[in-house]
Amino acid sequence: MKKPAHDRIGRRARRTSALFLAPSFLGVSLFFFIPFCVVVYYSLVADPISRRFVGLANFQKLLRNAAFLQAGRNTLLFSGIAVPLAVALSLALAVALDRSIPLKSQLRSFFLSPLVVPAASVVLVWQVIFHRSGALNSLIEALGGTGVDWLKSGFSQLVIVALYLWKNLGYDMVLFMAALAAIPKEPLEAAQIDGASPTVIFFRLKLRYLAPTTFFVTIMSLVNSFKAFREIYLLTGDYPFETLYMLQHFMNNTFRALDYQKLSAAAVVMFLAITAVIGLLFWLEGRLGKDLEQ
Amino acid sequence: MKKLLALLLALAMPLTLAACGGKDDAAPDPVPQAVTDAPAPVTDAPADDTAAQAAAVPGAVQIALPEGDVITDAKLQDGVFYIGAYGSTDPEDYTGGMDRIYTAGTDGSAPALLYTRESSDIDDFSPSQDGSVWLSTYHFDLDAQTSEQNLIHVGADGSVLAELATADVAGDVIPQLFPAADGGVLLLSYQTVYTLDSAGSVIASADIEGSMREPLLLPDGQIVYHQEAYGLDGVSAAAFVKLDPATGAVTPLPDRSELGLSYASPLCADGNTLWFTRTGSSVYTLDMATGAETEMYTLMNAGINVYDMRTCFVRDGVLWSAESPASMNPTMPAAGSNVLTLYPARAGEDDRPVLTLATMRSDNGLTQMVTRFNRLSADYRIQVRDYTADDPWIDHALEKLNYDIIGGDIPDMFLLDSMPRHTLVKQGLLADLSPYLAADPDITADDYLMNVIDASREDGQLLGLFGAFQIGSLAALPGQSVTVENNTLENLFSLQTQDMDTAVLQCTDGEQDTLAALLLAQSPEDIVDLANASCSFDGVKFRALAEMLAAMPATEYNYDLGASGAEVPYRLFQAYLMQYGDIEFDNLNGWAYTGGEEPPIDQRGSTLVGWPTSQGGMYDVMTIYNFAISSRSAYPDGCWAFIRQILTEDAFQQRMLENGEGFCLKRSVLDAWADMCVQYEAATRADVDTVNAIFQSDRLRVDHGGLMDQVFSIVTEELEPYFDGTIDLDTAVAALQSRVSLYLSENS
Repeated sequence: MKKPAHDRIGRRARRTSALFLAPSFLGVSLFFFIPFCVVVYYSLVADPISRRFVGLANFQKLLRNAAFLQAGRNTLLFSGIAVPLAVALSLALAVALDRSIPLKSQLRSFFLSPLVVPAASVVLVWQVIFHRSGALNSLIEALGGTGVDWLKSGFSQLVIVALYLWKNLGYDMVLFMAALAAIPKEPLEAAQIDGASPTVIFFRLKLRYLAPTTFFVTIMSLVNSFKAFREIYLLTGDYPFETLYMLQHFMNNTFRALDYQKLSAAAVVMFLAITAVIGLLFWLEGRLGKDLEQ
Repeated sequence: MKKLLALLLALAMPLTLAACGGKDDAAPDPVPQAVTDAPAPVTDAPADDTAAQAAAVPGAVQIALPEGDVITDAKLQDGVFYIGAYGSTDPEDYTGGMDRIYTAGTDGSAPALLYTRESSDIDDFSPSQDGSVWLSTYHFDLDAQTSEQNLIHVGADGSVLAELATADVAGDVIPQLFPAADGGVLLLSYQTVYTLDSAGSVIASADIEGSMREPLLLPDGQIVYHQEAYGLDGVSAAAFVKLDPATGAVTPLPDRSELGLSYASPLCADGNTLWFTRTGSSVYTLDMATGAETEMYTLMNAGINVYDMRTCFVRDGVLWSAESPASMNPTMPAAGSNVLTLYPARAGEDDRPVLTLATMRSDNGLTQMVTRFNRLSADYRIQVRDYTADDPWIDHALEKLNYDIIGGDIPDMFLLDSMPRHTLVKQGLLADLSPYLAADPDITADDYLMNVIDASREDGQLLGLFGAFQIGSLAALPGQSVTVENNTLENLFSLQTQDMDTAVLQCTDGEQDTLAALLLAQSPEDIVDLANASCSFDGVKFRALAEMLAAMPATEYNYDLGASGAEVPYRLFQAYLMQYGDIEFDNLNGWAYTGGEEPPIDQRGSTLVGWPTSQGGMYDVMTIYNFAISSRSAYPDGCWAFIRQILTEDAFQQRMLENGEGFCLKRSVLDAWADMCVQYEAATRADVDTVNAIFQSDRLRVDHGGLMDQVFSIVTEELEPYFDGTIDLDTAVAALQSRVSLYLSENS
């Protein structure tokens, strides 16, 4: 019996789409999925040389490792503070620059400029400012205060949060500005006619329309918070003061020490944690933006 | 789809952080190897080792000068070698140059003497196309404190055609010589090139702009050289430049290389192809017309010893190296110094199994060992992986090594110098060499310092075997000789306070005692055990120590503690002494103290050896050329056949007598060297006996580095600002505690 024409067309479309997807699928498999499987495998063996299966022993050992726990705490704290701050401040800046204010274009360029400054230069400037004999301490001491070792004390996380915000606010701000410009005018005008205040319009309407962008900005900020390691490493080296010791330090140093099993176990744990965070963000985004999509 | 994307995003993030390898299948399963009684036959060098090496290489040609001549330089012109040599063994006659020139064909035919001089003052020479030779001579008159430089043109029959003072042409410089047309010569000084005719008259001169490195004459009469421009972070631009000697016009060669031409040196030219090396190791060709660059091989792996290379040439597309053993002092020549051997580059064309050797450095000693083995062994070929060849940063090199190991491409051997030995040991990558040592028929325990070898064992295993060693020492002023048995802190303090005019110990007696007590109470093992057991570094001890040191007036605190691991308190104490005392620290690598410049005999310092501890101390042994076999090597017997070379008399003689790299393990060589030092140098028989007693001591401790290396680097970094007064004690101790704890926790 001859198959209906729509079946044939559907099959052909599926084949065509599979063909188009194949390169991406191959790339993702080759560069992400297969290496990840190798990492999982290494996390379950005594070492990559003998490859003796040890079950979850590497994970048990890892979760008892004080350095890993310290790095995990620091990374969580840093991302927990820096990411919400980045989202909130960039949204505030975008809203401010969305209005007709003087020097709007210059301010936009000002906030974007850190993106094009090389990391080494950023670090140099930061060292000049925050070194124990740096500009900030000189200023404090000139004003009669006592200098602080900003990079080797409890203040060090503040310094890197500031560095992270300085570097990333501009990018997030541009994303929010684009999203603000794309909000349809009709519902806003309808709300104004109904007598809604600007605050109500922002929180009840604009913010809802911005939910997908907020979600995207949050994910990107999270990713960028991990990238802050580069600057921290250049500022403080392999073994920084304990509050600056991030998971990337742990992984970098563990790799250099040829301790692949510990490194792999840490990568798997980190994968699970990030998956959980991103899953939570998706759930939140679904909840917040569902009625608008409908 | 969104969720899939999210999953992939989450997947990607840790993967960008966790470096994971690709080649998962490359590591072979370990092949159980019986230790054979007959390793590959590369044993003690025969009397005529260069002849044996040449005989083993297909196509190699030897040109032998008379016995007693020492080849210093060789140049090739129109298929004829011009060989410069020094021919006297009397040290009184030697004035630093050559005294004779030979000519010889490239087929090994007997050389002919072209020209001799009474004085060994020939600095450079340049053969011309007509068979004549230009010589540059330099003579310094010690009595009159004057120097004389001349240019001499010697005809093909050995007669002197022209002689003139260099100063009349090129001023007060020692020029490099290159042949010019019609028996003339080119003189290259720093900034000018002169063209002289056969009679020595200047017919052209041209100024050269910029720096000129390693000029080479091209077949078209132009000179190619390497030019580098320097930026703040090293070489910022580099190129090969062609110079027309007649006009001084320079033309950069086209360069299409991805790496750029930094760290490059020209080797030789073949038509329009320039052969050059990068960092003296990897060979490349450059098409001078198009700029196309081709990577060929590394010299060492192709069987060429760049340290012995006098000149090189290309024949039928193959690079040939003309080599003769390099001698530090021509009056005490190495064996075979009168023979020039032509070796063709052999880049992997044979069927011998390849043994890979990982190293973080490449030097004369390693090159000698590898090229010699590759020439003489019928069973194996060594391929060196110098992880610092293109990039000298050790961190980057370690990263590359790690990628190889995790990718399963594990080297067969490691040269452990500058390598993170403890991580290799921790991962079980190093094989125990004891069975090979015990089974080797040519190695008799009585012939070697087994005491020193045994001291390097860890849990009974011999995980590396070294070719030389030094003893950590303190060097003080004359009249103070303290052996390890009474090398206590009190003695050291006494040494400072009583006998040295410039050394004033700036603390009270009470402080001395407390400091001594603190130092004496801790052994390195105690500190590491304590730290490892608790995974929380005890900064209180450091604080106390720092307090003690802080009580001593400090104006400046600047020291370089080096990378070798040792007891932290000891190192702090060492740093203190270096800052406040007039005591030098240097490794004892000979029979008398030779740190820095050799002091005159009457001012020769004494040597204090060992660690100051309550028991009197340990002798700290630093190893050099420490080789290990990978536990995963499929050819451990082949690896042993290579490594055992370092125990041969020939190898020891070369390292000790020629390179001065430290003590060796073979008694006969050690004794011969000691006799020579007593006869010719500053050592006394008492010095020799003292050091010999150290070799027999049961207090030897081989410094393998390890955890304490990094700990001490952190300690050094944090204490420096403290001692220079930038930070207070609390800040220093808090930073120290924090960083060291992290490191130790990470490695627990």
